[in-house]
Amino acid sequence: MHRFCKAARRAALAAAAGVLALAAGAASAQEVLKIGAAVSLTGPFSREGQLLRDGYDLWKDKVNAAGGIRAGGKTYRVEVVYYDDESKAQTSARLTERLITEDKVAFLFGPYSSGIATATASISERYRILTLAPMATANSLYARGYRYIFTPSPLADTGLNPLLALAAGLDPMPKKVAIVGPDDLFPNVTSDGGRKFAEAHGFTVVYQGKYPKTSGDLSAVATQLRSAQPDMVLATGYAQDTLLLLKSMRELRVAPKMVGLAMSIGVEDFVKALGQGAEGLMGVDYWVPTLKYPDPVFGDSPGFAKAFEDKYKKPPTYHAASGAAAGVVLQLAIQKAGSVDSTAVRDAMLAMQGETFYGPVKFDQNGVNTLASASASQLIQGSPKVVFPQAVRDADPVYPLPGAR
Amino acid sequence: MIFQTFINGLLIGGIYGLATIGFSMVWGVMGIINLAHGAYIMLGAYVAYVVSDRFGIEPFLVVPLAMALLFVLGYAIQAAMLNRVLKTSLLLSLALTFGINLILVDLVVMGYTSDFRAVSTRYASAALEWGDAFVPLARLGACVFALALAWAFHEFLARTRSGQAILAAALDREVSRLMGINPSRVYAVTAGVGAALAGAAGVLSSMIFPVSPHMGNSFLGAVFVITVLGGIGSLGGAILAGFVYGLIQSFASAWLGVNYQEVVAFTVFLLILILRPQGLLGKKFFGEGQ
Repeated sequence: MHRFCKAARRAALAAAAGVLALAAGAASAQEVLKIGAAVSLTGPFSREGQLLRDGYDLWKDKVNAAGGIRAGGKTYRVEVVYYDDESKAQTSARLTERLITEDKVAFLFGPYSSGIATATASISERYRILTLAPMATANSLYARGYRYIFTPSPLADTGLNPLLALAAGLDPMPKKVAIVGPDDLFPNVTSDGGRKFAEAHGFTVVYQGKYPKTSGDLSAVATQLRSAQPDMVLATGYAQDTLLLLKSMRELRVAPKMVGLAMSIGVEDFVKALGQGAEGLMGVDYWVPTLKYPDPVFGDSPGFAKAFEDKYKKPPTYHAASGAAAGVVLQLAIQKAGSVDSTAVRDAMLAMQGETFYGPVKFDQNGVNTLASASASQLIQGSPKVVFPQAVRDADPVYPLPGAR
Repeated sequence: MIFQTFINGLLIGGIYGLATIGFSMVWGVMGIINLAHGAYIMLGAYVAYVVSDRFGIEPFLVVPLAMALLFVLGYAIQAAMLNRVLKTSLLLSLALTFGINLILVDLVVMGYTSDFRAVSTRYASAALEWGDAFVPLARLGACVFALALAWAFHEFLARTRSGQAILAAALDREVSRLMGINPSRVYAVTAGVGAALAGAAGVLSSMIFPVSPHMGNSFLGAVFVITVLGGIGSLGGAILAGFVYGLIQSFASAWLGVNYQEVVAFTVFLLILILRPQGLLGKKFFGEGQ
């Protein structure tokens, strides 16, 4: 009797296992494509990191809703594995290794900031995992001979170009330029690139300053700016220190004809925190909603903006756009390669030329998008308006700033 | 330019001094290096942000509220947790306050995200002109207010029974017990008052600096240096060293470049440790000079 029970139970178990296996077989017609992303969800870069994650996620949702990625006769449902790198390079590197070795992801989405990506890129390179790093644009990262890291965004040394190109056409031209930013990888590269571009275009750089990334007080910088008397102040920092710099400038009455940031002025809370003082401020965006490129996933820029607003109930910034565009670029390369093998997709990436809502893409051997460019926006009556380039402009720039001295 | 640099350093020095008093006193009286002190400053700034953002109340008027809330928090943490580890090792109190700091910071991240906020005042960009130098009103007000609070705290120590009890417990724990003083309660009051002063410093700095959950950490480095510079446990030392520190940073920035402000500040810190380890106004015990 006892033995019979045991046998019956074994049979039942076997039957159940068989049913489960069948169910699993049916589901495997659609395979899962795992992509890993260690981004900053806490710490100083949490704001930008979250925006970047929103972009990655929006692309994932959109692709899965359309049935997944079809490549080589298979259909892949996209899954993104996220970890919080706490805005620390070491943590991000550790998590990247974990994504590759434990979570077995097929591809990686890059972290926020070049400094962190420099730490993670050496890991992904070692395991030959293709990485799309839309928010890591320091030139040094793409000059090391790495083969598996790509960015759809313009590189850091061109970060101030849209502002300087705009300024070169203004009347009277703001000839005396001050460039200031925190002593960190991306800001330094942007600052030096800006200086070169400025000097080549007839500007005089009257002040180029760096301050420590963690600096608590920037009144010293504002004091030096005041004695340099620039027509135009360009800041290459991140949200927190730029906020502090602008407050200090206002307190010490540093009022140039034009103030431009290498970052976006579309970050909502940033504008709110500055209040009235934000008016007239210019910023650089890798993406603006008025761009007119067609896109295979989102249709176009307004299509992306609408999808983003529907999901997150707020307008998108370029961080999010770059994240979603990275997904689209990866998807195009996978489809072209007909495979999810990292090296095959890399080869496809190098061979392709295409467009996303974010702009045209064509990569060189170093993973740099040679067709990338940026736009400039200005806060006019409280909302960001595109002022450069002319073709996508939705307002004329306010210049010189009222109250300039 | 030199005059402006001097003003910059002086104005920020007052806030540094106020931010340091509580830390220095807790260290001097109880031997606790409170790593959560930066979080107290941050919480004060958030009280200012929330109240002035929601009700449009002048940040200076929020100071009493922030001080009251932080007093309760500092008192409770001391009474419930720190008093228990006081007699064990320094390491244990360091670990405990480190943990408290993490919890407080992360609670604020959960409640308010780690976005940067700012407290805007009507006079945010107003400044007095003095020759070719500017004295920003918000900074001037904050500095004067900080000094007034420091003076009030000095009076509290010198004239009230609680203040005298703090000094007595600092001098000799056993004898103060014989005099009818309950050290545990005195320590809790000390921690509460220290937290309240940190909260006040937080409110004042919210008018000048961006407010974020991580702002306390950058304060803590300065507070530590100023405490050692002024002499551990010394009220006057904290204020004096706050000004010295502010001026050192300001002039180092102007002459060597802003990049060097921390290098110079910590070099001075090392020199003080070598040449005058008791600090500018330090005595063996906090109470001795009173």
